[in-house]
Amino acid sequence: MSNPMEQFEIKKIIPINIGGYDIGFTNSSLCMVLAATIVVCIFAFCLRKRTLIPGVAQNIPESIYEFIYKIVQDNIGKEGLKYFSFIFTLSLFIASGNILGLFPYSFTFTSHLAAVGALSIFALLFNIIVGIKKKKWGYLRTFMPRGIPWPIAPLIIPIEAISLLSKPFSLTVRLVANMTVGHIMLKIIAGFVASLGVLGIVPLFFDSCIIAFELFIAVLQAYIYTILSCIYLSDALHYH
Amino acid sequence: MKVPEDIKALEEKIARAKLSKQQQEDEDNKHSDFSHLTIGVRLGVELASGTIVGAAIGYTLDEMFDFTYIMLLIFTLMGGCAGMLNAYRYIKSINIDEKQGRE
Repeated sequence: MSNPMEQFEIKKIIPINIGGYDIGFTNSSLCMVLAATIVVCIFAFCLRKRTLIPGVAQNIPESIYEFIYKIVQDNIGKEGLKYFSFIFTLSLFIASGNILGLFPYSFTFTSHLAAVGALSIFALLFNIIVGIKKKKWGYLRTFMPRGIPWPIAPLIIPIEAISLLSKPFSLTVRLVANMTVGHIMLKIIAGFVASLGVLGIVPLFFDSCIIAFELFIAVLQAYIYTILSCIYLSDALHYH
Repeated sequence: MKVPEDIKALEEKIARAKLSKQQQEDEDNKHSDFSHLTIGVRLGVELASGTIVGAAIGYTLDEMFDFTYIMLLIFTLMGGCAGMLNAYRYIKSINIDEKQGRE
């Protein structure tokens, strides 16, 4: 049985070195490009004939759009709709990355802390910028909620700062852990299919069930990531 | 214009059916095992992530200013507190949602 962690190895496709920094194009980068391209292609294909009464193809992107629009509206409110395009792009990118990872010979970039962490840090910076833009200096109140006595400020401010910084970390860990565990499980069970011979049909059946479940998890995790990003953005806009 | 009695009765029946269906759906959503599992996982991750981020900040400060692990100790404790704070806020938000649902 081959190593189940082998599928997460990053392999260089085009080595690029600029100023001593390795910025090579890897299999992870390729899958990110593919994930983004696939979404754009599906949307462009489905929306090529735009009619007032949508056909089956037009219904797909419209339903996704309305679904995420509703999430943003419910969690952030009307003023959150300004940031809809950001949330929409983020969730589609993650969902397509998760689903793409389920295909054989593909690579799940959402199982890497660096990739998802970068997205989460970007989302956190976006939230901070939006919060500062909206509340100006009042944003600093996030670190010192009203009603807290000043003498305990040295204790509260770092705790609130860590609390803010741990948000992207918890977002990342949840997605990465789910993706990694699912793929390891798939690989281990697939290993039994080959080694058990005729009896391999039993683990094959389990693997098929897990693939279906993983598809569900892939979409669910993208949904959770979207909801949490909305909640954090809502905190930046409304909290205190 | 006067609405006939049988139409009125039918309207009431439809309204009652809609209400009971909505209540049933709300009940299912609230008490499904899956939602409990999600809450549990999220709480665990919130608690752990606060501590890990705190420890990482402490370790970085120690490395930068050569504090011999005092910052690691302080920030790990603070990270634990931040994790608990996040978990507490999350539980509070669930309680508020449930209360609003009941109203």
